[in-house]
Amino acid sequence: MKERNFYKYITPLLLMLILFYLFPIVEVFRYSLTNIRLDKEIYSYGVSAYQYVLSNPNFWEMLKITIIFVFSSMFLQLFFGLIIATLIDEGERRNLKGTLVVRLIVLMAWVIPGVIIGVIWNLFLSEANYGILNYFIQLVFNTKISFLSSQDLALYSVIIANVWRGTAFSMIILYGGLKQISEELYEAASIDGASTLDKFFKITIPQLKPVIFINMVLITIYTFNTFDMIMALTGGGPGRSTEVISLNIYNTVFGHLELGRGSVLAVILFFINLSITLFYYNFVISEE
Amino acid sequence: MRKIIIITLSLMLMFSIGVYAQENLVTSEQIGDSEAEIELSWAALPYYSLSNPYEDRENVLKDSALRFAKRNPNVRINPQVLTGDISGQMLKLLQQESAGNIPDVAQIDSFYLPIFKDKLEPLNEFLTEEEIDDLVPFAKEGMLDKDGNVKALWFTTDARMLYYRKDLIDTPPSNWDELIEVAKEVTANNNMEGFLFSAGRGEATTISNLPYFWAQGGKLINENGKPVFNEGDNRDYMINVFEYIKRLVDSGVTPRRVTNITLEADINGDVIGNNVAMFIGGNWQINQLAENMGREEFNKKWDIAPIPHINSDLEATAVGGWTWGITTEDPEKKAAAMRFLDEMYFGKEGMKEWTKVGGYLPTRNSIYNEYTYYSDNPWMDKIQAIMENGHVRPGYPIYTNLSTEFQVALADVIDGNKTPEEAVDSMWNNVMAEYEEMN
Repeated sequence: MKERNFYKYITPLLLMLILFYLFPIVEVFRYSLTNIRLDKEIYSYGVSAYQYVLSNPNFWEMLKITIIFVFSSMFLQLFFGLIIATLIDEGERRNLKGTLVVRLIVLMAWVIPGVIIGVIWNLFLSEANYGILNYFIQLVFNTKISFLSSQDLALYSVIIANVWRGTAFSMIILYGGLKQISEELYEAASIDGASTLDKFFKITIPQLKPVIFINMVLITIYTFNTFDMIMALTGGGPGRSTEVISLNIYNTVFGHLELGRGSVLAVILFFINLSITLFYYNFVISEE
Repeated sequence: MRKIIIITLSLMLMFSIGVYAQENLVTSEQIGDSEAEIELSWAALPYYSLSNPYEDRENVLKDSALRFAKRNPNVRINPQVLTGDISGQMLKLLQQESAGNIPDVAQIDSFYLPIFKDKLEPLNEFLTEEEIDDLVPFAKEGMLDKDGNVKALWFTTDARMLYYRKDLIDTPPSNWDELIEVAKEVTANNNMEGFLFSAGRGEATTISNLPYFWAQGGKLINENGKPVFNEGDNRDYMINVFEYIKRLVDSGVTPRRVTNITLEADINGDVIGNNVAMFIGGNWQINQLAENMGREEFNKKWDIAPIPHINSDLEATAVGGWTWGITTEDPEKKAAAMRFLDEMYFGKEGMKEWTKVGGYLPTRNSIYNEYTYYSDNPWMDKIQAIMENGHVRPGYPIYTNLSTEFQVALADVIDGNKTPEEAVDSMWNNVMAEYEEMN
């Protein structure tokens, strides 16, 4: 009886998942094995799309740019998120005023849509006369820096904008994790004569491991999928210097009408995210 | 007395109901009577629809729609509003066509029209020779398929041109050397950039800079759809373009940050802030800038001229615009759709009203000559003259890839990563790899 009831309740959910989650994923895999274009009705099956993508030097360059973008963003967001979360937590322990305001200010960056963040940072980093940062640089150093128009610097500018955007999310996750750590552990450590740094590295970090793992996975997946902010900030340029994989998928499908090749890129992105998740799990969780 | 009051009130009530009924013939959800026997679906971008963010445009369209509804009581139009993401919406229309549920009337970007042509109904029966000849040449050519059938109605266009500060520059430059010289002079005496244009990742970059290639007689793609921009004289023309852009940056008249300008409108901030002496922009920016700066201020400072090319005797610009396609095969519905589009956008009156309120350029030459809004507009003569040398982008599948590679190559030249020759070679290798894969 219980088994029948279980299936009665789970079947609609299962159907929804299959229809709206599994089926589209299967279709993407299927399209990746075709040469389908959006302006042509006829297509054939084969691996030509994979061959073209994997043998294209631009793909590997784009992948390198994406990996630099993702891992730099992930590390910096974790780092700054942890610092801010720790400071806020410590401030609350000491009953300092203003911790809520600090949290809200940091969170504000997270709620702003990616496209607007791109526009904001464009204004901030532009070399035009209205560029805010270059205005001060020119006042002091009598020169301007090509933050967005140099192929060498543009990627770092995009990373900074992304870190600014994502640190709040990282902070919130880690702050929640910090709140779960038992106060008794710190008290016991204090009794044993542990310093602040000892407590941080020997209690806080190990206790936060599961949270850090989830944070790393989420930041990595989100950052791999980021393209709205980059679209607004640089459009993937100058040249191809900030064209990450998600933006490349958009350009391939919507610009070049190559649904097959775009699907190949999406499949590659899927396996990258899956591999990274498994790696984080083995590296962070399994060690416990 | 009582009777007179009752009759008057009744008449007023009937009149109000009548007005209400007529006004309700046109809403953002429906045009015409709910019981009408002919039903048409109509898809338009927000700025072209009855759900318009601009009230004046919405009012003009509602008036036109009401006239149509009254004259065609047996027709009902169901509006669908596309989003502002043009490429996404054009692809959505393609997918709808594959699924068999494309709207009966659809707005199609002239850039995408070649992809849609074989999916649209011929409209020759609805247009006279006179009407077709009245259209600007590139619109006429663009509307026809290879068999000479009219497959779309090109109802607005746009063109690119040189904008220059007429209060600082007496005579606009007519060639590349003059432009650099003039820009240097102006920037020496004023705290501003000499010359700006789109050189970032975006179609605006291609469309703003390809005129330099076309003016020299260059051909990007041949009649069979094969890229030829690196063959024979075409290669020299393309190298000339990249060398010119490099000269602009190396001479200091153009800053490297043009590689971050992805749309013509990105330059508006520099114009309003008095930060630029000349730029390549689209005709629609006249209204945009005049509204933001004040029309008097804009007219006092700015003027337009043809884009300067390698020699003063060459002229070319890039043109675009929007079209309507009809997909329904039913003869009655097709005729009704044509009457609808004529009333709203394509007929002489419809086009006149729509392009006036929207700040677009009409595609009927007679409108420029016959209507005082255009004939008395000091800008229109110049724009019309510039448009005579309009080039449309080639409608072949390889073009989108070619455009992307052009944008990348341009950035490489500006950044100093590649010489002009290396940039053309790299562009050619990438485009041909794609072309061979396609064929």
